[in-house]
Amino acid sequence: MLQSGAGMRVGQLAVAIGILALWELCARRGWVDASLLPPPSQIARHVVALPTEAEFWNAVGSTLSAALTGLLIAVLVGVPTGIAIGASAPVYRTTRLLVDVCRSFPVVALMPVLVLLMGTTPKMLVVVATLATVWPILLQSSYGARSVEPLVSDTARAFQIPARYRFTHVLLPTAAPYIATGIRIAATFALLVTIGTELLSATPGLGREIAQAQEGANFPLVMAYVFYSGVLGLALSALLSRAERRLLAWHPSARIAE
Amino acid sequence: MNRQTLHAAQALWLPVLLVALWWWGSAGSTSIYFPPLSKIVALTWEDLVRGPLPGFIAFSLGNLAAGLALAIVAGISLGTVLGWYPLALRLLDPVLQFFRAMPKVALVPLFIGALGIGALPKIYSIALGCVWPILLNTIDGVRGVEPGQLEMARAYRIPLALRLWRVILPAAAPQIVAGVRVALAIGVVVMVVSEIYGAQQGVGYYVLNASRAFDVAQTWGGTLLIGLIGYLLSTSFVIAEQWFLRWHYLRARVLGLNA
Repeated sequence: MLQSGAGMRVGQLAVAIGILALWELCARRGWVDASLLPPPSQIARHVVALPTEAEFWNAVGSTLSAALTGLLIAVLVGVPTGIAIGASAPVYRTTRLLVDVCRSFPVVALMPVLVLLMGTTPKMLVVVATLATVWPILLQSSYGARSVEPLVSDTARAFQIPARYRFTHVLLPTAAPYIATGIRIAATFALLVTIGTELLSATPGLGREIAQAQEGANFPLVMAYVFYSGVLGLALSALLSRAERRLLAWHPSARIAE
Repeated sequence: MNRQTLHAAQALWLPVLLVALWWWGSAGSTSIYFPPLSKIVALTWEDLVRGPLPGFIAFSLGNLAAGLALAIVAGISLGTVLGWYPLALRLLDPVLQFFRAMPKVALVPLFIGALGIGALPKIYSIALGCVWPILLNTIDGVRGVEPGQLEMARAYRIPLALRLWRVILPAAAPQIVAGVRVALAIGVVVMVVSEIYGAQQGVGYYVLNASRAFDVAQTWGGTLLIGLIGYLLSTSFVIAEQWFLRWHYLRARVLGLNA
């Protein structure tokens, strides 16, 4: 975020260690509730132990596969629909209210209905992840399509470029950076919603592990799972930013940024 | 027909058509899982007028308001300090980035486990989820104040408190408000999660309770109600934002900037 020399790195590390030490002290002395903030040393033990357990990797696998499948479906549906909506002003105005309502819908509230309909299955998680992520992607794609300069779209129309080529050669390239941002936001959101739904519905995955550790009153284990959920989110968004830079290197916005 | 009515008609016909299709399409439905929309609306209305729903809605919205208020106070004050002292920000940056990435809904069980199923743990969970976008946007907003304005304020020896209140915070306000808008959406999600996880009242509890009792129509009704609340909250926030920042939009229009 900011320039960081070696001295700054040391300082940052010192601050992080200082915060952990203070936390450890508070937890040891009983100044905070140990069931709310268990001491970092106990959390660290679980953080080290978890990757050696098959159960952990199974949970990571089912959470990731549900979140990513949902994200993929959302991209396949959301990008073309969003571009189609953004490419035409009347269609954009017609669908705006509908998209606004759907976008502001808290998807976790659908969980009880979906559990009634589909049970606590991986398929249900995929549906939740899709419904949660399709709107940001659709919205970003439509903003992207709307950002096509009038001169360009007029030229395409004057030359009577067929709709198919207008989509692949004008709309899609212009909207690409917007779509990439939408997908990056949606990816962390997919993970969050998947874990939240697992937590509430006891569907297999990281969320259920958290709920079970909590029921067993193993609070450091809860925090260790929360830690890995955070790491997973950071890794996913770092991976996507890298892919974005690689894939959009040709785009003017990427060149200006450098 | 003037332009405004035309636009309103354009925006409304599709949602109205979809609701009408659902209404007529489900009218004779005997499926357990897809009860007629008329029945869903009737039962939910019943609970709204005579049932527990008004109290539940007040409980949920009260928690949301308290949690968001806590997050706003904490986020703006900490964000102003960190935006003001670049060194402190740089030292804390990795810690902040990590906490921001943690899935806040995963912490709901810890809060409810430690503090019980009352209102307080829900307020804390909401505040913890909401504080990050406000904090980060405040930092960016404070750092983005034009240096010229700050130097001018310093040259006239305007006291720090006044400088903060009249120069820095107004300049950062658009960014802070944008952060609060994101936080509101997160807050609604955390509110619902915390009520489904463990509660004895609230709209999330209403939905969960209905689904446990296999009252499918009420489950649908509560879900639609939460969607409506979410939409109304985000729409009224946008309206409030336009009013609160009217000077900003006005200035942007006069100067020909992008608001």
